[in-house]
Amino acid sequence: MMELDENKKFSKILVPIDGSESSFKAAQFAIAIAHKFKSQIICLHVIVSPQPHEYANLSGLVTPKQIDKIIFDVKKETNLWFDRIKEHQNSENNKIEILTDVILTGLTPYGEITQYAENKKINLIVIGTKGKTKLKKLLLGSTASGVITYAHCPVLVVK
Amino acid sequence: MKEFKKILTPIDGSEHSLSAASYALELAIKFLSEIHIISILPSKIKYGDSSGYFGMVPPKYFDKYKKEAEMWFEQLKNTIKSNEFNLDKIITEVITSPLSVSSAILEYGESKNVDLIVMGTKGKTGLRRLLIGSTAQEIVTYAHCPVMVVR
Repeated sequence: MMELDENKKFSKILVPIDGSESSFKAAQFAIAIAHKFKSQIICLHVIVSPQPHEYANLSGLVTPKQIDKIIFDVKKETNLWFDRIKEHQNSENNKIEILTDVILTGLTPYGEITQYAENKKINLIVIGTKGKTKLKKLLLGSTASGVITYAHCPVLVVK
Repeated sequence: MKEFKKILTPIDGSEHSLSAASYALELAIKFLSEIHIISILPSKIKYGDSSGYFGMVPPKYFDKYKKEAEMWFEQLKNTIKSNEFNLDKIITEVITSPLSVSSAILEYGESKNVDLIVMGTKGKTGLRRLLIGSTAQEIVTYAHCPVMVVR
């Protein structure tokens, strides 16, 4: 445990992005670490499955077609965010690998993020303290709090 | 480009905290940062904060704790090869405080203006089923800088 072994390095970094300033700041920190450790970054946006009454058709079901449409609509927006993050790292000399992913979940965002991190064998999650909800007086958002509690790997929380 | 010039890592001798410290050292080596390793000895008398006297820790107890903490510091320093990191950049300190452990850490972090706090999710209390300890929770909530929690 006391050894600074090789496999401890942050080789895969997960950054959950929701388009808030705090999440972009988290991405900047992730890029800084990735440069030093030569890591791969995965930017992830989680869409929470829509409530049935909002999106259901007359039969009361959410069809696969509607789900595809939701993801398609969201991807238009997320691509802008991901481009902004990639732009930031292009100004540096040595490039790093940035992958992006958008997923729809029936779970809570933190449930999906921690599960995704485990499946992809992530070594570090970098997350902003507050997302889009923007409650001014809230110091730590529910998603960040959940990720800290349930993640299997180290979590860097960025103000 | 974001940098970590000063890294703070509070340890209490537990396995979690030492593993956090080794992460901190690894980051410090890569970022060439100054690293502060501290250990907090809170006053055993609760609510003694208002009076400096009651908030104090008996010197004998403090010395005993300090000796123990110095062992942890040495243990951590020994993990570094001297050619990859300047040992002068490691600052160690044992702090006694009438405040709670978390506020003592936060106060130290703010006064030294650190850029990153690295700490374990659980300390010595180490309740098995507890996923995140109270100190880590408070630091994450109130810290002025980014915090890395390590399992």
